Amino acid sequence: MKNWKKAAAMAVTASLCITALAGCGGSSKTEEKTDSTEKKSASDNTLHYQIGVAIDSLNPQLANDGTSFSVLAQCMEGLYTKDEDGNAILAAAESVDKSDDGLTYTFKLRDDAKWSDGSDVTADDFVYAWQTLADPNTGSEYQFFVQTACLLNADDIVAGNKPVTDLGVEAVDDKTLKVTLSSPCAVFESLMTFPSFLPVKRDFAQEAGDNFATSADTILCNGAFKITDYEPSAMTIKAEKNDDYYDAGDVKLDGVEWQVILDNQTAAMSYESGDLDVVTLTGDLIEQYQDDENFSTSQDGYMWYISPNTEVKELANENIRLALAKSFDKEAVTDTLLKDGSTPADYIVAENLAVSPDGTEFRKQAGTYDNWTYDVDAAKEYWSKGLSELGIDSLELELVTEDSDSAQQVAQFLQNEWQTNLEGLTVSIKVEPKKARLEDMQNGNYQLGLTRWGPDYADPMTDLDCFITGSSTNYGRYSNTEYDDTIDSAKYGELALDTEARWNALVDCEKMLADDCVVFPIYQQSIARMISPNVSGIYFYSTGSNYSFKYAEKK
Amino acid sequence: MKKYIAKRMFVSIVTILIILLLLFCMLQFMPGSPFNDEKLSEAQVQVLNQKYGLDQPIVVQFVNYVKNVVKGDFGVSYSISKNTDISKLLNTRLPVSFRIGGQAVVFGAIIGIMLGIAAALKSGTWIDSICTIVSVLGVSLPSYVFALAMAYFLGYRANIFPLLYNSAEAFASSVMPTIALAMFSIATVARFTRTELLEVLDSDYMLLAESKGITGRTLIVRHALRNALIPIITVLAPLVVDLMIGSLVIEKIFSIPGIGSLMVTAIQSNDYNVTITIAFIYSVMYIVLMLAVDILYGVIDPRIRLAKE
Repeated sequence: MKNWKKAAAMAVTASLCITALAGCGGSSKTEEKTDSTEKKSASDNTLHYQIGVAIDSLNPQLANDGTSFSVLAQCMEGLYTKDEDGNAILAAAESVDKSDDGLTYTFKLRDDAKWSDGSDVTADDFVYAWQTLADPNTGSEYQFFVQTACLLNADDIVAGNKPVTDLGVEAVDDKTLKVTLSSPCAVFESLMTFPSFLPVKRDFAQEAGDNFATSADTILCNGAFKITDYEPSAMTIKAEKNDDYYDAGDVKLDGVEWQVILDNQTAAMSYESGDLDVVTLTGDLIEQYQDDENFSTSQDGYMWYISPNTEVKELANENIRLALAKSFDKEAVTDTLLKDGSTPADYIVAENLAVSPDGTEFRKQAGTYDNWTYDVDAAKEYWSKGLSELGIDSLELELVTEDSDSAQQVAQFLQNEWQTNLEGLTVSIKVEPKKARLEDMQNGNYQLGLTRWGPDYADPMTDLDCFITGSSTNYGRYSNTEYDDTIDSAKYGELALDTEARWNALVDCEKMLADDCVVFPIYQQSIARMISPNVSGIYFYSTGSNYSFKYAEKK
Repeated sequence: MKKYIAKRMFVSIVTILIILLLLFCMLQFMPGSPFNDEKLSEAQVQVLNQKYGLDQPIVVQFVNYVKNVVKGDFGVSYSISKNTDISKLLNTRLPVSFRIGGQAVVFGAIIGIMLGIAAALKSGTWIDSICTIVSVLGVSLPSYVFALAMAYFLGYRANIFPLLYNSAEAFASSVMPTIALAMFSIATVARFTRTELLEVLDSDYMLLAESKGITGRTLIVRHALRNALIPIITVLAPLVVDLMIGSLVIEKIFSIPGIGSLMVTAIQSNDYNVTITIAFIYSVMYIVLMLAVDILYGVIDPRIRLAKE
């Protein structure tokens, strides 16, 4: 026993000494290495880009957030991609033949479209990927896109009534892809730029099985860059220029490195020290940097709004809703609270989202709505009218919000504005994690909810679709037959065939939302960034993938 | 001794099972589900629940889960890294957390004990005062203050250590987080060492040892420190688990791919399997460590008898 004790004591001492020595030995190496890093980041032709969260999946059909989509979009290419202004242009397809009834698209794929293993990108790669997306067993959050794109039999496949092989997409030959729709789809081309429709090579994915897209070896790329270093929930993702890409001559960067940084201060220091070329700013840092010449903001498609639950008796009263919608200062929210370039919104279809068939931007045509503009006097009038209609003189409401800093700040500001401007109103705030807030709102278990919606494709429909009867995002249980019928016709009916009439009908739909005041828009989100002066040519977008590095340069 | 350890092991396994059950129930009560998303249809949520067996009664789920855990299968992530094996997720992150945490424990214990000894031996002098200041600062200032200060001065200004964790320079990247994490243990250990050592130095057997002619290092290390170690180990043990499992704040500041941040993300996204697995690892470490500490007591102080031999 005594010997054993002695041995144990010696082992402990020895291990302590070894650790201490290892520490000493390591520190001299450190200095050399730090030097080499410094040189590397100054001279390399790799773009170092900060992301705020880890990637949830690099499987195009499973990915579900903007960060993942954006990384995918740099490394893979679908039938269409986005130009500098975000318009859909042909990419992996070199030509398309659209039938007169708008129901058949025949794509000819580029002969020089290659995967990063040197093999051809074939029509079957699209068939496989889209069938995976439609398959209920995949569990993709973007499964509904096969319906939005009006692919033949999509509804039945989603409901589980037909096999995925019945989906309206077929490989005529290796380089010819035939897509059949159930009805004309005005947003088809825009949708095809979305990463959920990216191709996946069947053999490769099936061989990788469950490991598909979980490491650099199990991902095939056909875009400007190819992934060289990745693992699930990685903090650093590396990609290098893809020499097999047909347009490789136009790609000027040697590679891209995405770095997950959660802390704002660290992000700013990394930018200052040259470790990162582009960082996103939030909170106090915006104030600190907003006068810097490398500070820039870009409009995002996210719309933040309050959804009133119209099944709550008091909120079913239109005057009460109007009073709530008009009684908070949106400019104060964007200019004094957020300061990130976000703009006050008296509308629900995002600005710079979509242009009409004749080239008019949606907001320019639709304008703003009186029911949603800030006007305390009018709000007070509606308020007293509403209260007397309900036969009450005071009202208590609860506002549910998620636990992010900015959301809580906005909620507190609204609480204050409402209580100050509307006499007899008491608003309490309930803070919940996002998932819990969503569940409450989807179950109609709330009164007022602060929420947001990001556009999925460049068409007003992406925002307006949220308010049809029965939609899982129609939290407030708004129901208007005229609205539902118009949206339905614009998606699958007569209007879908007549682009101009469809466009005007969508403008009318937004007006219906304003007239009925079933949503209180607050602001359209912007993203504030610092971009190193030696970097140029990054395109930023407000839908789908957030940016493109294809033409980016680093001097 | 063997019998005692066997008994403790049995109790530990039962404890771990109870912890697992509790975790399971708590997650059930949490609002939301991993598939609570604006874009998933009800039909899809059903399919997903079925696929992962979440539609079954909780008892069945629990039994299945324990069966799989025994086989070493902790399941897959539902939302934060879809369909990835938990073991794969942890494979890369656990070693990073363990490394930084382990370094912090060793560093914290050594520096803490040294500071404590210095303060006790030079009690009442300026050395003692400095040690007291360090202790008070270490205990009262949160670790992120040290972390940010170091990130600014050593990382950004002086450019000695990398600001962001880089797996290619794992040691250099781990220096600042290690020190930041160790500050609290340094302070705690120093304080305890000083107090205990002062008490021991005052005792009769020290007088005896001294009068027997034992002096200098032998006197302090063999006779005084050894007796002072017991309370130090008691405070250090739970610290070890805390440090090893990683700290969210430190991980956030240095962008370290550790399990602290993974756990928080998993809880927020209701990713049941990831949450349970990390909590499970935490519990197992805690239990194993407590067992080790109990055994160590006997090694350090023969007067403590754990069981009849």
